[in-house]
Parts: sequence; C-alpha cells; structure tokens
Amino acid sequence: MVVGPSVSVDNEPWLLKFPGLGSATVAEDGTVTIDPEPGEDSDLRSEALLYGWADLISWSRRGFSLIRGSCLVPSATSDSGLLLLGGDHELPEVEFPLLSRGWHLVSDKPTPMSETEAGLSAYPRSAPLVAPKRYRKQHEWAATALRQDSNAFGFEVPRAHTPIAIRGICEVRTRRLNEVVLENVTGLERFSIGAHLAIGGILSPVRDAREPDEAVAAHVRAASLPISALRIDPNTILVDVDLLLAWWDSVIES
Amino acid sequence: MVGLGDRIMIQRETPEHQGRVVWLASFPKSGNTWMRAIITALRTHPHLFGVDQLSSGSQPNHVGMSLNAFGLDARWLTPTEIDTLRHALITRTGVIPEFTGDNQIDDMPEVMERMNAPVFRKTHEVFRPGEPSIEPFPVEATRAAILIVRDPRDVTCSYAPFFGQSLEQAVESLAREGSETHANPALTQTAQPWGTWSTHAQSWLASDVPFPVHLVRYEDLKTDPISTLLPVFNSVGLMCTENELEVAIARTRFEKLQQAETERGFRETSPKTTQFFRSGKHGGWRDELDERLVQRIEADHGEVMIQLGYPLETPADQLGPIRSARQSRRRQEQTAWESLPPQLGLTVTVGSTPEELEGASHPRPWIQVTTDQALLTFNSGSRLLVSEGRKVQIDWETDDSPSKDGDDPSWMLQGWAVTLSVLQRGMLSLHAATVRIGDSTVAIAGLRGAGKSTTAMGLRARGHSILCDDVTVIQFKNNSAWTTPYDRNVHLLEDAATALGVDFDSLPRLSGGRPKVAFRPEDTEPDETKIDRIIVLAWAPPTTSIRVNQPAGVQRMNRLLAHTERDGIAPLVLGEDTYFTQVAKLADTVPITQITRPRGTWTLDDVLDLIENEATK
Repeated sequence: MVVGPSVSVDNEPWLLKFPGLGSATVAEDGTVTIDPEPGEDSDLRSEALLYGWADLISWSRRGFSLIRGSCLVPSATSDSGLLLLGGDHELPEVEFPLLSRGWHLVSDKPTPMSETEAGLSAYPRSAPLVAPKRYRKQHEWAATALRQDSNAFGFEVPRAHTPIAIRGICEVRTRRLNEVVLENVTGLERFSIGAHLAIGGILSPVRDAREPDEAVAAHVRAASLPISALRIDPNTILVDVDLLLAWWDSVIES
Repeated sequence: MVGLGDRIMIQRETPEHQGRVVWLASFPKSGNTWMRAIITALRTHPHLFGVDQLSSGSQPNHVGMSLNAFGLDARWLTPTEIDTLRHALITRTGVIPEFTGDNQIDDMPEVMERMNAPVFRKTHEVFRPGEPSIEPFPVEATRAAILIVRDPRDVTCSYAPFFGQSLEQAVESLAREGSETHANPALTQTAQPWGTWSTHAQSWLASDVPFPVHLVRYEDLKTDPISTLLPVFNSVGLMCTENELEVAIARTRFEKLQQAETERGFRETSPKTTQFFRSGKHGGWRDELDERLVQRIEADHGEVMIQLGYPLETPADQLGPIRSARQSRRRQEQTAWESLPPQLGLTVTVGSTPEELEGASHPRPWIQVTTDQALLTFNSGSRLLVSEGRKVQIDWETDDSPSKDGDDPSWMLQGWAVTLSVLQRGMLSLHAATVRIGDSTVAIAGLRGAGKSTTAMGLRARGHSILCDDVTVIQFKNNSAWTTPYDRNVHLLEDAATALGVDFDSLPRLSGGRPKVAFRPEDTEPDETKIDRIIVLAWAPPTTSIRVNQPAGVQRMNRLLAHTERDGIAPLVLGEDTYFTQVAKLADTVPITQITRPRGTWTLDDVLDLIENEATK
C-alpha cells in the first residue's frame, strides 16, 4: 500500500491529503479549505498545507502557471519585475543581497504567472521567503522555523503587493571553475529556459489541454525577454550581485 | 558480506510483486555515470545520444520533484514527512500497476513491455532498511540493485579533483561516515548518508537487503564489459543482444565521453573542477599516490578490498598499527574536546581565571585549593579553575580558540577537572585505569609511569573494554565501591604505542613532558559499575622477577593512599577525617592485588595474564 500525499481530482472540490499533515480542498474558483491533523503545532501544519500545497494548486486552478523561480522588484512602486530562476540552494544567495539593497519580493519560488496582451506578469503570493536557517545570522529579517525540527525558515521581507510585468529573467547557478560570472543568454538556450520556466504536472494549468498552443505561446514570449545567466560563488556574492544589477539597469534602459 | 566468487549476483528471495526500479548504487567516482551512459546509449537512437542526456533521473534524496508529481513545495515539510514523500515518489514510479477487469492489457504487448521496463535510479547512499512506510529504498518498487565498486585507491585519485580536495583529504573523506545523515527540508532533500567506501559496499552486500544485488567491479567493466554487463542487464529486464551492447559500449568509450565534455560541457561536473571525465584509468593510483597514502587507504578499507578482489600492497603486520591509530583519530574527530559525559554533571567554559585564590592552601607550587575551589596553573601558563564540584573554567594560554587540531585542553578536562570536581562533591578519585574483563571490573592503579595506560591498552588488545583511564571516580553504595565510566583519551609513550600495535606518528601529540600521543579507545556504556578488584602496579629492581601478593591489614590502606591523595589535594578538599575514612572503606570493600615487576624488562604479556587470572577469582 502506498502511504504518502495524494491529490484526488475526480470530484469537486479537489481533495489533497497527506497523512500526518492533514487535508485541504481546492475548488475550481481557487477557494481553499484547510483541515490540519489535530494536536500540537496544528497552526504550523495549517500553514504548510496552505503555502506549501493548496495555495499552489489554487493558483494553477485559476489558470496561472507556476514558475520555477522568485520575482523581485527594485522598489515597492516599481512596475518592472525580475524573475530569478534557480535551485533552493542558489536563490536565497541572490534574493537576500537584493532585498538588502531595497528590493521587494513579489513572490518567493514558485511564482504565479499569467500571460496577457501586455506580456508576462508575476503575481504576489503571501507565503514568506523560505531559506535555510543559516541566513538568520546574516540578515536582519525576522524569521521562524516553518516546521518542528526543520532547517527551513520563513523570512518576513519587504513585499510588493500588486501584479508586476516581468521585464527580465536571470538564471542563477553555482559557478564552476573558469566560468564567467554573468552573460546574456542567446540562441537556442533562450528557448530551453522558456520551455522549462513553468512547473508541469499537476500544477500546469494546461495539463488537460489537447492542444498545448497556449503553453507554447507563453514559452515563446518568455524566451523573447532579456535573459541572463548569473554564475554565483558564495565568497563573491556581493560582487556577483553588482553585475546582475548592472545588467538589470541595461535591461530597464533599453 | 560476500567474497569475490559471489560477485556476479547475490540472489535473494524476491517478493512476488516486483517493482521497476533498479538502483545504480555506488560510492562517488566509481563509474556510476559511465554505467548510466551505457544504459542511455542502449535505449537511445545513435543520433540522439549525448553525454548530457543520461537517464536515471535525480537521486532519490531529492524530493523537490514533488512539485510536478503532487504540486507540493517540500520545504514546508518536516523531516519525517519528507521521508514519507520520498517513499511515495519512488513507489509512484516503481510499482507496476495491476490491470484487472476492464483494464486488462494482456493483448497489448507493447504497453505491457513499457510498463515492465526497468527504471534506473542512481544513488550514492548506503543501503538501510528504514521504518515501515518510509523505507528509503521501497521494496515494492524495487526490482534489483546494481552495485558498482571501484578500487578505493583509484577512487581517491578521482574523488580529490572532483571535490576540490588534496589527495590526503580525499583519503580522509573515503574513511569518514559523512555528515548528510539528516533530512534537509530547506533544500528539499532527505538524508543521503554515503558511509565510508567500505561501509557503502558492505551495506549493499549485506544479507538484509531485501532484493537482488548485482555486483559489478569497475575494473571488470573496463576489461570485459560485455560479459560483465550482459547477464546483469538481462537479469534486471534491460533486454539486449551482445551486438547491441557492444555498439552502446563503443559509443560510450571513455575517450568519447571526455571529448564530448570538452566540446559541449557536462552539466554534472562539479563546480570544483573543469573536467568530470578525468582519467578513468584502472590502476592509475600507482602514479599518483605515495606509499603513505596507500597504507592509509589499505588500513581503512583492507578487509573489504580483499573481499572485493583488490590485492593490498602493504604487508598485514604494518597495516594493523596504522588502522588502530586511524580509527582512534576518527573517534577523536567525532568528539568535541569540551564534551564530557552528562552523568559527570560538569559545565565547561573557556575564559580567563584569577591567578590567585584567596586563602588557598598550596599542596604543590602549581596547585591552590580552598574548600570549594581549586586552581591549577600548568607550565604552558594555562589554568584550570574548578568550583563547587560542577563548574569548570579553562584559561587556555596556547590558543585563543581550543580546537581538536593538534593539542587541545581535553587532557586537562578529562583528567584534573574530573578529579577536582568529584573531590569537591565528596567522592574519591583513584589514580587508576578501569577495565571490564568478562564479568569483572578491575581498576589498575599505580604511580605516574607505572604502566596503567599501557596495561589497560594491552587488555583492550585482548578484547576487554577500557571504561576509563587515569581517573577512576569512586563512590560507595550498599557497602560496595562503584565507578562511573567515562570515555577519554589514553596517553601513550612511543615504546608503549609501538608494542601495542598503535602507529605513534599518526596520533595527535600532547604538549609538554615526555612525548606522548592521545589514543581514543572505543566509547563505553556510561552505566555505573561495581569495582570488583583493584590491581596496584609497582616497580621492583631489574634483577627480580614478577611478584604477586595480596596486601593484608593496614598494608591495604597504605597501598591505596598513594593512589588517592592526588598530589595532596584530596585530604585538603575532603578534609583529613573524611578522606581517611573513605580510603579505609575502599580498602575494606574491594580486594587488592599488588603486581610488582622488574624495571627495564618488558613484562606486559605476563602482567596481562596475571590480571586476567585475578579478575576471574
């Protein structure tokens, strides 16, 4: 017998279950109900069910793609968002220095995105910025453990609260020997990044579509944005982020 | 564990419902990627095969893929929930669904074949059974494992540049159990214990692995890939002909993979190196490792190397002492210098202490004692302050930040701090090592240089357990003397270390006095234990022979006074009346044997025989 999470999509609303954690429902219009397992820490279980699961399904059911990255803006009133793509290891390395320099978080990974005539827009998610515990010592933001015995902490950072147009994409990776720190992504690689932008499977809003043109169009549109590749080293992260900011300035000016 | 003769396959009883997952298990840098390249080449059209398209997915500790499967952000889970998720993800891909009734697909052989095709998953983890429902390698999803092993001397040469380490560091890495033993929700990973090179192989070849394990040696893969792989692949359901396998192997020749990496890069290359496919040579270690490193590797892994068919270069009599010292060193590395067993109830801080204690007695020039404090000043200038039987403060002059690299204050803490604290709490400190011999607990007392530590180590070499060295804490319960064992380093002179088969040069050196090193024996159970006998070691002139006698009457107390007064501190702290009463009680409750042996003659084996004999009385 398989024991673990399950998502039942045969009836409305969708039913999410994880033994030990609890259950949640997500209606077609995105309405969420949360039912954590009772007992100590049920508040934390509620938040985990909401921010770690039901909220994502809810955005997806409302037709949003969920992007494998975080979106930040240079200020609370800015109308231009930077989409940072990367792994759990790399993203906080760049997010925190940007926040320290006055940037605001639209959404920590994953980021809801929709395509409109005006282009691609990122939407604010209220989940905290999630990062390993060690960042508590390096930054001023208040932080609490997401769950008991967990090294994942939720950081309360400055937020932007309105949907924002995505003006550029930066793919963040750990730097290998002899790699350049930052370069513009060109050619076929741009389409590869565009095609892998959104999380697939159950979180894909076009998972049931017979004709996936809708998804392809968003990928092509993403590939047409300015895209850079930032190769970071924790020892030089502030210099690396300076290069990213210089690239961002050039994107905005153009 | 198996011998080389069994290496093709370890057949075990398999469950009726066989899963699809075939684990490609290996210690890092053992040929796993090459194996994946061959499998991918077998399953891919020649024009589509590329070094960056290796199948086998992510390693099983990465549960971030739950976002695709369940829409879950695993960073919000607890370690246990992450383990549950890992199990569910593996089971989801590994369990072959049962088709019954309207879902029968017997007449669709292509679908059946696809559903039954093996799913290869790479892992560097050790095998461990795990708790029900969260087994890291779920048996219902597993068809088999292919364990790829490689000569650890070659692994070392490949491991070092890949992880940006020196060869010496890589040797240590292969011998260390590793730290990734806890789940890491922030990075959406379960625990991924690699074990040492030896324990990794042993774990997969152990008898409790509940599915078939095929053992493939990298070296056999190099010399005869077809006959090495064909039976293994066909056995796990990767059906291919000899010709197909030959073509796949030709497409994944090391030089070709290396060339592809040079031209187009390889995404699995470590950030620490420019080249993943480095040498791939069998036996290349002969050109890269010096004799000292070879000896260390063989000391660490010799037993398993022999079982897997890797002949050792170093003679067995040289390996024993190196092995013993290296095991001790690793035990020391795992123990912070300031750690003491909780049952001793001491709090340790590092900071400046006063130079003088007001109104203190000076039983020795370097010792100051009051009723509730004791301050010791050592030659190096370091000081030790013990207060109220519980608080220990160390003023470490040698280094601002004591560490376990080289000399550290552990000798001060494990010896003097324990002695002073127990005296302040009204107990005795017997200058003795205590050893468990069969069902008996024997304390071996003696003056400095009497051979307590050497004798204890000699008994350890005979299979007995050292409960503590140099300081035996004594308290009385129910008319018996009891001691609390605590793990500590044994300090050895070079001749004693050599005689005991311990490599003196491989151990941390202690500062000051005659050259001594710190040897860490195996940890012991901390339960209190009744002392059954005290052996007093004493010297006699060189021309005499070993004598054994049982002191009687007042002699019993006299023998103990010399080993309990602790440089004159005990009568001062306990008060003379209490001190003498306690020593008399110890003399009255525990049988004492004195062993007197001639100076200048090595009599250890005889002494050990006598002690073993006394312990059984």
